[in-house]
Amino acid sequence: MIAVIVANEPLHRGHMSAASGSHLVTSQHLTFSVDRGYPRWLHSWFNPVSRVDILGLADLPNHVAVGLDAMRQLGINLSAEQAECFSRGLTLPDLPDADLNGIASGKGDIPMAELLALKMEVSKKLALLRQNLDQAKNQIQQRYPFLDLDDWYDWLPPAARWVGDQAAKYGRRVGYWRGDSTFIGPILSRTPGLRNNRTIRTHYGNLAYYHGMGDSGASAAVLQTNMVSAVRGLLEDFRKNGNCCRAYIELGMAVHMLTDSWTPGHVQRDASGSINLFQDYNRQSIHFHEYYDDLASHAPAAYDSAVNRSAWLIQMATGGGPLDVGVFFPLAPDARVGVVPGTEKATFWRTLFSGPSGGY
Amino acid sequence: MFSHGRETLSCWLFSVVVAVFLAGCSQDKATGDCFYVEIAPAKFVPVRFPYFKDHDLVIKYNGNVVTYKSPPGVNMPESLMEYNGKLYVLAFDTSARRYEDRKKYGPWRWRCFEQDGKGFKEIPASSFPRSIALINIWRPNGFRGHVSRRFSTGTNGEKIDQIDLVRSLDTENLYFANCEIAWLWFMLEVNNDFNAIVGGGPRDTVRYNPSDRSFVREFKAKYKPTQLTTVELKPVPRKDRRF
Repeated sequence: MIAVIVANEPLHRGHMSAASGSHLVTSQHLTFSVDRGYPRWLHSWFNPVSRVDILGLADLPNHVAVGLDAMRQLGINLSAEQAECFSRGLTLPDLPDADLNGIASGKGDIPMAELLALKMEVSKKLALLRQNLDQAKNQIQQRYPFLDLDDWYDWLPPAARWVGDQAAKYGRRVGYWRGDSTFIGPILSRTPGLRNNRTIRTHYGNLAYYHGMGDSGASAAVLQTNMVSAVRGLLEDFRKNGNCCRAYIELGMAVHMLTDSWTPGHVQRDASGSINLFQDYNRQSIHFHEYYDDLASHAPAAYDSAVNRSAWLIQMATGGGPLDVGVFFPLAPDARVGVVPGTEKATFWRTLFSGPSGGY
Repeated sequence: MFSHGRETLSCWLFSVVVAVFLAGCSQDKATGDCFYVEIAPAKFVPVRFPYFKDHDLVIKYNGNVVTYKSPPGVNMPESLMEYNGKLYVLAFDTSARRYEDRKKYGPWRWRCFEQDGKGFKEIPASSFPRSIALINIWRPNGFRGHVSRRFSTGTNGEKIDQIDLVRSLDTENLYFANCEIAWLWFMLEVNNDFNAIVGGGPRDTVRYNPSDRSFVREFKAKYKPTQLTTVELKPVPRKDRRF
């Protein structure tokens, strides 16, 4: 939701039509390789870009799928409204209470991200399955019947649309954005007026545990304690708010946090499920993070675990028993906060001048 | 059509400007960074890390200049060790950075190289000498252009220095089984797939369990890894850099 990166898949309809043979220069038409003798730092400059991806939205399909699969596993049939509220929570764990109240009551300034989150799920899958768009659309419509897929592009945030338009307009000129966007986090988190923004803090600051991650210098024990208390608070709110929309939003937020804690790009767990490593947005490669955010495809065992634990969490929330949330986040004694080899972010310099085969 | 030509031309012009800018900014444009690397206990060789082809190495070894040419997509070498009179290099392959690349290039994994005359040839991970499976290239501030991963924070906030773990090879250290050396050992010995470490990949992936110390204990007992004295890189004086 924060940073914008560029990869080489089409994003919206304009790109798709243009890529099939109009003026837009795409990677299919123009391919340079390091083997031709270009220095690697020139590689990305020559490589055109036709797809824009939005960091932070890439994991939304994953969260919606895990949450709804957990509900299915429990045999809970949500109404369309409940499912939509639950999905909002699944996709938006960063919302402050004020926004949450606004959404739940139908008043206030509802963040555009609220519904675009679900729409982005569609956009991403459409992009990935561009060879058979209708089939993809039908599949998604079948799975999430409450989505209106006809206007999904309209739900993209202005920034995403702007970048998409730039990509369409200038083609390869935005190629260098494909880098690691390392600079985004530090810049945003130091910008007056933004550094206290909740979404910034939940990604690059002291609230990163909302996504199962840690900011540099935080101890694993503190992060785990914070996660447990945050999830417990959400479940308590779920119980307190009864059967209304806000309750399902908060349940979805709790499931999002639990799912993140099973996602290899966020947390490493050992064979027994104990947490070994919290990773750091500020130091981590966006490519690595994004890859594993698609749990079902790239870490199916972790996906299964996330669904099973989420079902257990929902059972705990809907039952009347004690909220023993700690069982979902056991901590190994040697747990740490850091970054795994090969997944470090590039620096600003590297971001600009590193090609796709020029390292991570 | 013509507009594409103009854009290509402008790209070239921009590239030339940037190249000139880069060359002007580099502190030592002829030689790049140069450090002594400890390739065996207390044995140091000067290694040049060129600026532009920045994943290659130029090594002055036993009176010869040996060059490691990095294959495309392979990261900066993280290990340069000596074994039986030959140099060995370990580098992490993350060429599959995108979804579609993953099928083409395979998983992220360690690539192993053995000295072959004045160059290097790739060898399978199963042939890499286990006793020198160490990460000994820790450049100050991380690899050039990257954020360092040398330090991490422990369970109770303690600062963990990966170099200390490499230096001591103390498998009883609380954090050793969950450190990069242990991951490297597992990938070379059991499953050279990064998914084994991070928890991704197919369901039947053979995975590393950092909570079970028996693997690192057995590995150390079986292969008796080389114990380096410093591990840290030291800058080579300017006068000794040209080779």
